Amino acid sequence: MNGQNVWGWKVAAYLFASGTGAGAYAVGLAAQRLGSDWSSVAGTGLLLGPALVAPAALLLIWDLGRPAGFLRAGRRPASSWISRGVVILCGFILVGGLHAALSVWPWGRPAPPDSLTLVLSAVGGLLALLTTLYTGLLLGAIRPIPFWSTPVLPLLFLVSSLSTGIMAVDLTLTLWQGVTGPSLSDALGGMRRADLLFLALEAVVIACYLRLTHATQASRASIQLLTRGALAVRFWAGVVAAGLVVPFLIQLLEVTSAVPSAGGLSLLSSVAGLFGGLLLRHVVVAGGVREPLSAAGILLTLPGRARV
Amino acid sequence: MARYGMVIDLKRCVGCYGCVIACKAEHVTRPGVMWARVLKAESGTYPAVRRLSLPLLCMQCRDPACLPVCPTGATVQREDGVVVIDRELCIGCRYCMQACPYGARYFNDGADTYFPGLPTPYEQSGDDRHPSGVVEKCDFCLARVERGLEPACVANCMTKARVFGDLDDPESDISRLIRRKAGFQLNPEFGTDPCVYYLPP
Repeated sequence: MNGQNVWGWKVAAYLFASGTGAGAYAVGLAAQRLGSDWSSVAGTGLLLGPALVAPAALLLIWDLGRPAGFLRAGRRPASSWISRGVVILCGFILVGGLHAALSVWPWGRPAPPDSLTLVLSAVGGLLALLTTLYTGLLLGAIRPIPFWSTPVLPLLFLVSSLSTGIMAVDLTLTLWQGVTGPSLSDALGGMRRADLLFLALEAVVIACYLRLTHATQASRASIQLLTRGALAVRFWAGVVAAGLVVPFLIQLLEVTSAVPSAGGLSLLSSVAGLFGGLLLRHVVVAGGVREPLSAAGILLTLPGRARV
Repeated sequence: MARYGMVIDLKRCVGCYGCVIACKAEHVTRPGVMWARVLKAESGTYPAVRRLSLPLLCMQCRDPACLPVCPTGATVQREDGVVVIDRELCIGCRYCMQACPYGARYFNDGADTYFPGLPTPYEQSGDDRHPSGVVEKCDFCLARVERGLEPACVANCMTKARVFGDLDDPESDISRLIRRKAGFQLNPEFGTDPCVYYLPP
């Protein structure tokens, strides 16, 4: 049984970029609370949020059969997760963009009033959370694909988004400081300690995800695709090795100071982790197998787009 | 108001694909776009083998999974139960294709022609009915039904395996067939309550 071919790489890339952007924004919000040592992390995170989510939304528009009509996608928020997503994405890009602009560029003017920043942080944080969660609920509403139709998926996207958000901020700061410069400032060290936690949590959630979606024939076929089938190399080498093991080991070595925090190693950790996050979205999207039909006790798998 | 439905007798169906061709001829659908299909499967081992031909079309569900997921309101259900797509509103997001458990919906990317190069004049005659970039599906041949004809797949079925009619009328042929011959819906566990019923093979 093959995975669905209705949605392809643009949807997977959207899921990755929007999740990473929302995660980076959440990192920025947290860093804002931690004092001036964290100001570069805060600024980078807040900026990366809308800067990643906006192009991700363009990917979705590009994926439409009629991109020019994309505004019509917001017409049914009462019933469709795509419409709700349009509201959430527009809201996040507007609020997050305004928040990032106000916090990074005061344009020499007096700082915006604390109450405004507080409101922007609260609304932007909520919208960032919804940006990561709704995608899992959107896929979860598709009942014929049991690999998606599980409450573990939004949780997996949330944890992975926080981890890739940290790595996106880390990568940006490491590149900014130059590949060779000493980079393990307090803030970067703190972020990597947090990422260790998220990476471990993500490994647990992925394990749960694969264990808990074993109930039907189609979901077993999905798991087989990932662990032994056509997606196995991408899953084991990409998601598990590059996305989880490599960044976990490098960050562990760095925060325990077993090796000096070299820029190149940090770079490798972030790039590998982000690549793994992208492949995680890809294997989830490409690994969605449809439930077969059954008549008179005989199972019939639905072919993809038929060729005649 | 009638509630249109169909019964397909799997004992009569010989898997000739006549319904598929009749549908193609009626609607001039693009290559790869299959409003009507026949799936084939085998079970058992020789010599105790069973072969099944399963004709598929849009099930015109009473509670369609494709309807609530549509973000534009392009998918609507008529009073007679037939689920139709407004081509002007559809933006081709394909969420409905994912949500439909029966794979009844197809995206027309407009790229394919039956023969290499340009579309044939016959294919071009269907262009205005099949704008590219939108999702399309079987509509129970509403244009024929409104002229008092049967859907093309029903009229063309050489074994008379298909019966079209009003499910709300307990005395209609299809209501009687469903009652008397233990008609069943395909995969009722999806909860969409299809209006296409099958009679056991």
